[in-house]
Amino acid sequence: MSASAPLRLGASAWIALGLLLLIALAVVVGPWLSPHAPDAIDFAAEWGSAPDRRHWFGTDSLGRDVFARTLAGGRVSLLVGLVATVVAVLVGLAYGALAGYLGGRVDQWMMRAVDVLYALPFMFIVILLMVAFGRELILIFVAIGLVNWLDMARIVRGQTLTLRTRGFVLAAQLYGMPAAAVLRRHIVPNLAATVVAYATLTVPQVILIESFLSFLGLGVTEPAVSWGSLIDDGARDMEVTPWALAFPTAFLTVTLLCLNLLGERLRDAVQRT
Amino acid sequence: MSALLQVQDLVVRLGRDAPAVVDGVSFELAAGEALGLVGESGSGKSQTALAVLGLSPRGARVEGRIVFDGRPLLGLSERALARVRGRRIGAVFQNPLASLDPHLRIGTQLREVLAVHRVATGAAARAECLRLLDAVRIADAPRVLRQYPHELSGGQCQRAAIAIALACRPQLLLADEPTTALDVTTQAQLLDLLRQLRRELGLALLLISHDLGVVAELCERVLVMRAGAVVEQGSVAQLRAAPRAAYTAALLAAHDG
Repeated sequence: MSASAPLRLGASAWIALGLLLLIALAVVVGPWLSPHAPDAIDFAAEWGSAPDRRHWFGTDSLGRDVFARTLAGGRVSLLVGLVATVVAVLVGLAYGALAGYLGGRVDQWMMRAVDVLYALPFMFIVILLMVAFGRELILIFVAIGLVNWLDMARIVRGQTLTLRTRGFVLAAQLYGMPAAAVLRRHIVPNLAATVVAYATLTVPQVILIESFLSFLGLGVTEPAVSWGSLIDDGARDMEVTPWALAFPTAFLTVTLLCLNLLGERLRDAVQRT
Repeated sequence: MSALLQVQDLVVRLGRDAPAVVDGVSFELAAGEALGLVGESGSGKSQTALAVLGLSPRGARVEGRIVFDGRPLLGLSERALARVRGRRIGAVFQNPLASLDPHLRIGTQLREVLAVHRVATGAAARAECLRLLDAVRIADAPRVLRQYPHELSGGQCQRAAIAIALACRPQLLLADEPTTALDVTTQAQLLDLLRQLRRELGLALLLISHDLGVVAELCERVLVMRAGAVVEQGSVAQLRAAPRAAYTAALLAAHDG
């Protein structure tokens, strides 16, 4: 993997990246520009009105602007996706690199622990957590992050095992560089490309889990919304206000599609080098 | 003449009950001497080298005696070991690109070694880096210091790796297949370099190779290994003239043919 080789991803990945940036921009900036608050009922408009010039995506059955709600929901969904992924990456990277680098019996035990955690029915545990501690947004971050670091730990460990036998790592050990320094200076930087690629694939997984929890009514609570809770709302009234289901679903689908495509292209690019 | 490196009955297992990959190897290396270790892949020569460096894979069992300059190395704590081997034994590994960290500039990697051993810092470090690159005959050293490994040729990479190995002014240089991945002309230049370094610095050299021809270029004495054991040792001339072990004869034949 050379440091300055051009990144060849193909046109589709760049389009996906462009779309993602567009959605991210809309989601971050949009709610400030929109004249309607996501939880405000527009008494002037007919409840459950179809999309028009005043309400671009229409209003839902309670008369709230779907455009504003979709963007506000996107904020939560993307935020959960990013924060939980960062948690998963940090934990997984530290754990996997340590296991792979220390090797031997330590590695055996650390990875058996991961196997055990894998075997637990995570969705079930997450639901229990939600029920036990209430539906805090922070808890959703933690719960989802806890599920997703396992994959990262396995991938990072595998990569570390191969890196450890490379000449420059052996040389660094030979010169008496402390283990922590070898990890920080030679192992982690060389894992960066792989980690970034898999992190991109983790984001859509996390968003999907959050949406699923919200769809089950276990995620965010009103007045906060996420794409999952919007889809849940929209599905209830889908005969009356199909647009309240269609727009959040479209945003979620496009976002997941783009993230997956980008992640896969990145992963391929990393594997090629 | 007392030996700089003395290895006695070295046995390496890659697990508690695993078969020995190195099985009772003994040899001595005097200061300034060059010793070749040849054998096919899997003959245990690289594991012998790693054991001498104290870098056997984790979980490996290493038995026997390894004495460097009068101090036994086996059984030393990690820290004590680092003091001995890091400063006084340098190593160059197989693949020239793999022996350098792809994401760090050559200069950074050189300075790192100098810093770890507190040889030099700051402006002195830069001067020392230039001196080292000069010692391994890298032209345009100031530019190479700023370059990444992928911007260099295989030969230049291996020279840079040798420069790093020499940074602490070791008494023994251990080279594991240093020229295998290089083309024939670069290989010849590199062997030349190693020969000159030996003469200039009085380095002892432990050269590991599957290629008897490469070893013959540099070494006075050769150890032939097969299946973890030494099957024959002697001077290159002796071996060529009258190989005692059938395996040596086969290796020679393979090389000449």
